[in-house]
Amino acid sequence: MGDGIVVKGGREGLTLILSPELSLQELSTVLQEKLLKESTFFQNAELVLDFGARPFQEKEFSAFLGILHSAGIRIKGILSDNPITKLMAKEAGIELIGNGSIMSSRVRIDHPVKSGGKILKEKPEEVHASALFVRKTLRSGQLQHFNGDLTILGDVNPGAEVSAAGNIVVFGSLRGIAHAGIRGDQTAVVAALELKPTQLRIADCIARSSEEWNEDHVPEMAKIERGSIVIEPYALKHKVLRSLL
Amino acid sequence: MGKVFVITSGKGGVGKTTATANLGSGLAASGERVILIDTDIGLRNLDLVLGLENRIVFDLVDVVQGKCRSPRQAMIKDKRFENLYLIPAAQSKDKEDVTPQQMKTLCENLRREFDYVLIDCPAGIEHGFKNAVAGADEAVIVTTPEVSAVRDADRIIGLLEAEGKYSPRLILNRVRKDMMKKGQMMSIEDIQEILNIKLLGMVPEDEAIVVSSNKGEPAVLNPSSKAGEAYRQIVERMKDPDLVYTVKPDNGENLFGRLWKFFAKVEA
Repeated sequence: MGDGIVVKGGREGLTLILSPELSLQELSTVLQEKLLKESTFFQNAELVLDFGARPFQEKEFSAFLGILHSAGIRIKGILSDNPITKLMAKEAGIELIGNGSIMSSRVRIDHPVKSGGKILKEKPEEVHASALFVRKTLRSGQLQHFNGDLTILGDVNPGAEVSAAGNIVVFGSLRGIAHAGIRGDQTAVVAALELKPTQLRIADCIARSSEEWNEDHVPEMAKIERGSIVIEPYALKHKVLRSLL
Repeated sequence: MGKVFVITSGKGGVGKTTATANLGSGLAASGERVILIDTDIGLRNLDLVLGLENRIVFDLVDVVQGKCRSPRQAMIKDKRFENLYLIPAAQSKDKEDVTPQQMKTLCENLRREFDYVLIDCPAGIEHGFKNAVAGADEAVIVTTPEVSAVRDADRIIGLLEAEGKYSPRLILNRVRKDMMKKGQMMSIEDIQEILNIKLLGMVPEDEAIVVSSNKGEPAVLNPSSKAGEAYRQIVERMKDPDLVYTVKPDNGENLFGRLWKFFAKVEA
């Protein structure tokens, strides 16, 4: 504790929880020190890394993995809340474990309804490599589905519905229905400049809107955490991330 | 070449027919040659609101099916204006008796003779709507400050976009400013946040509309009606697309505000 890296024993074996408070460079130094100091402990260990929501550049990611490799450490898998990190991990052939980070975060829970939602009955897709960009406002009765990530530059009005196998980002007001991870991807997120959906679904979770919305229009993001949908301000998170970079 | 407008709303009972009658009469009063087409086959109303029911011989279905010699035979001349005509809907037939293609052809023929062709659209989004929209190049959406009416209007705007008809304009009907101020009714900002289209005008809730509809005399011709005044202004904006309706800011019409203005004038 205290050095930004927490070692935890779990179902998957040893898990390293990497604090988001540290920069990537600090993290590498601390990690290297730790590995040197307790080299016998980590000898031939298979580790799980928990990155939280930390974003990575592609180079940073591979460099970070390089350090671990050179210390003789095998990576069993990673936990991440960041879709891009997840994508890079998949490309590097590293297994994704669980539904995301086990770090606790401060969130406000929005009438979560545990499973019972419909998901398409196909197997979860491996990777959502493609994305669709829609540049218009979706009005009542209009549907937009994409088998990957979906970005809307415009509003999604009440009565309209957007769905995607991957993540959904609305650069505008989301007031209709959104279903991310429609094929069962529990790691999918829904983000919008104004997140006021009538109903929000991620994989097989459903959350309905609260009757009263807070009036401050901050960008928000919804994701699944411990089996239910949680919404948190995106701007706040972004600030934390900015301080890291 | 005349312009073809469709007056539509999605939801029923928001005032499409009343709006069509008033816009038509208003345009005719300003000297334009106007023809109104009622496409609500089976539920015809426009003739009643104009007080022309007893003059109907041929109707829209007769026109498109060629049962009268020419469209001219089905055109009913208005009581008040020489330059205002109506093609009424059929009462005993179905909306399927007319096709969108037939409407297109009819509108193309009529726009050669008239400055304005106004099409009164039935409620709903089915065949009747498709007929009404087919020949129009501009759309006027009528809605009231209710969530259901606004939701349907939004749907209609989406369907119009799908037909390649962009930039429809909005008439907000049955407005009660006192309720809007108190936040008991959807405000114009609430509505525009969803619909986000150009505003042709707002028509206040007015009892005189009920009376005038029942009498068959459009309110736009009644100088003392508030709704009539609103329609007269809307007619001006219809004729000139560059005129934009701006919601007047509530410029302190309380006692203090008025006193301030009064003194400001005296000073000057």
